[in-house]
Amino acid sequence: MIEHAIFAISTAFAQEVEVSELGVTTDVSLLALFLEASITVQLVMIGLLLASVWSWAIIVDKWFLYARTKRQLDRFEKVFWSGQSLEELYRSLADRTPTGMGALFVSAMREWKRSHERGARSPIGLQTRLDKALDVSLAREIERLERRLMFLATVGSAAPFVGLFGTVIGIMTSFQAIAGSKSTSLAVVAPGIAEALFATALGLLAAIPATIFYNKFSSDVSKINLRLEGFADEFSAILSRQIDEKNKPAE
Amino acid sequence: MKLGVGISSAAHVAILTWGMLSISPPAPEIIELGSVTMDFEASEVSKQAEGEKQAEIDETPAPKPTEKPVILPDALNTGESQRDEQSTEDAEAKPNPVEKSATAPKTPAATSNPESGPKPEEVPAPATELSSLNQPSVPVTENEVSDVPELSEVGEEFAKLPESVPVPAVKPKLPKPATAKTQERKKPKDDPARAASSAQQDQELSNEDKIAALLNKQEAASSGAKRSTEQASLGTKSADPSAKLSRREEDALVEAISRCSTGQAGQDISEDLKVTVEIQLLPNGELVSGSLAAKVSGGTQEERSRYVRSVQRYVLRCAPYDMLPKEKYDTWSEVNITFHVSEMFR
Repeated sequence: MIEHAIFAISTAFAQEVEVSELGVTTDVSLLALFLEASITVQLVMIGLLLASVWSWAIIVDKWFLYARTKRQLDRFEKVFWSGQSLEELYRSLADRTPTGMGALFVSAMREWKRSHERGARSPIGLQTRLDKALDVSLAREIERLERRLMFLATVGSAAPFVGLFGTVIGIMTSFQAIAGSKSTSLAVVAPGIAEALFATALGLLAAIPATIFYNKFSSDVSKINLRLEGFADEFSAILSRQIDEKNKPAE
Repeated sequence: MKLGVGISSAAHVAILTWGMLSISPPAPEIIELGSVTMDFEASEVSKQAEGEKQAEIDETPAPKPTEKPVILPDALNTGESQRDEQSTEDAEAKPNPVEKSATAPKTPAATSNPESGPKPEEVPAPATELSSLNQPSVPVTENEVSDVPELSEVGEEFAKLPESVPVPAVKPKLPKPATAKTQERKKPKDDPARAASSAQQDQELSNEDKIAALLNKQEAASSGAKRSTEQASLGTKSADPSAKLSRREEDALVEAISRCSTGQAGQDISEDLKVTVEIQLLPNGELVSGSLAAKVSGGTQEERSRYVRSVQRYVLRCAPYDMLPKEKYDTWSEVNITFHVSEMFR
């Protein structure tokens, strides 16, 4: 039996010796796993961590954006079909920079007003310009909604491979250490493999939510896109009807 | 977007700190067991070194020698072609000279062939008669060297007197000393005769002993004794007094294992909780894979299941026990280590 004091001293000394000579760590905490890893694996871990942070930032941002956009669409449709004068609606919206259907409406109305102010003669030309304005505005809205969404797709598909790369590198160095120490003991093998697997864990941690939310958001965008396109078509039909009504008395 | 970045980074920091605190605890759980102290059972090792009655423990060395001697006598009884025939012939030949006088000249002829051919031819029967008359029993036991030349001279002188041969039965005993001139040769003759007579009496003397008696006649009796006590020979294999681990070497092993059992105090552990780990070691100090049988005594069920694993992990963790002397590998090829888990908190 060993006395307690000697026991403590010897164990403390032994830990230092183990860490310095054999590279064997008894600490399995996350920080220790990160610090013990080789520089390549550390870079992989840092990159995956940053990717995870950024993809979650995008997820939070898009979550609120789409919720807000859907609310705006509902509200605008309610106002638009309430029988309110389009002129009044345009005047209320033109001052601020609207999004969604409001942006489509404002761009089409602006084109309409300019054409009338300058005395456009061809109704077909006016109709074409209005459609163009609606298309451009729609494309701009969709682009705004889909911005940074590709990052999620990239993280979702590439992060597991990056993590796997870190794991392979980590296991390679671990096996090199085993060959160097000429010991097949589990205590020598385990820390290296643990830190190597940590890279794969980080890769999956970043990839899984990115993939899930990319799928959800892309379906959301396609729904919003459908609604915007439907509104653009309807508004274009309304404007073309107005053009026809205005041109009839002239003839 | 700033909102998203803020929320995301905050969440990651929170999760990482939680991970640092909660995922690392597996290590502390192990460390709690570090309060383990242990007793290295030196007695086990020394018993293994002593050997004899605990031959069952020494699995590899003990069984082989026990099996082999068992096989040999069986095979001899059934009769192998080479040695058995010779030994059985000898065994049959030996009793004859003792009982019958006619066989007496045969034995001198057989023994004297390597040494002196002509002398037994001259001696055959009459010389022995006369010599026996002159010197009945003295030359057999003592002063053989001086007697031998006399006998040969006498045999040459009285070579012409074979006509009167009264009783050949008893006298042929004398030609035996005559043929064996030296002390060494005469004593063995007496010894195999005794051995043969004892074999007849016991009816169970192995043929190996007879062969050994013929080949090495002086030590025939001693070789028989060795064969009779087989366990003694088993003991000699492992009972090397120098093979015991010294106190320093035991302490080195305890020290090595205690390195891996780092821990902190404060755990309430049943005092009678003992974990005994049986490990088998390779000559280079590595553990034989799968040789971590553990016995637990005392403590609650939860403590048992909990501490057995960690104790095994400790033993695994500091696995290369290369501080042990390789020349004493037999003593530490199998080691029992007892961990007194709660020893520290008494």
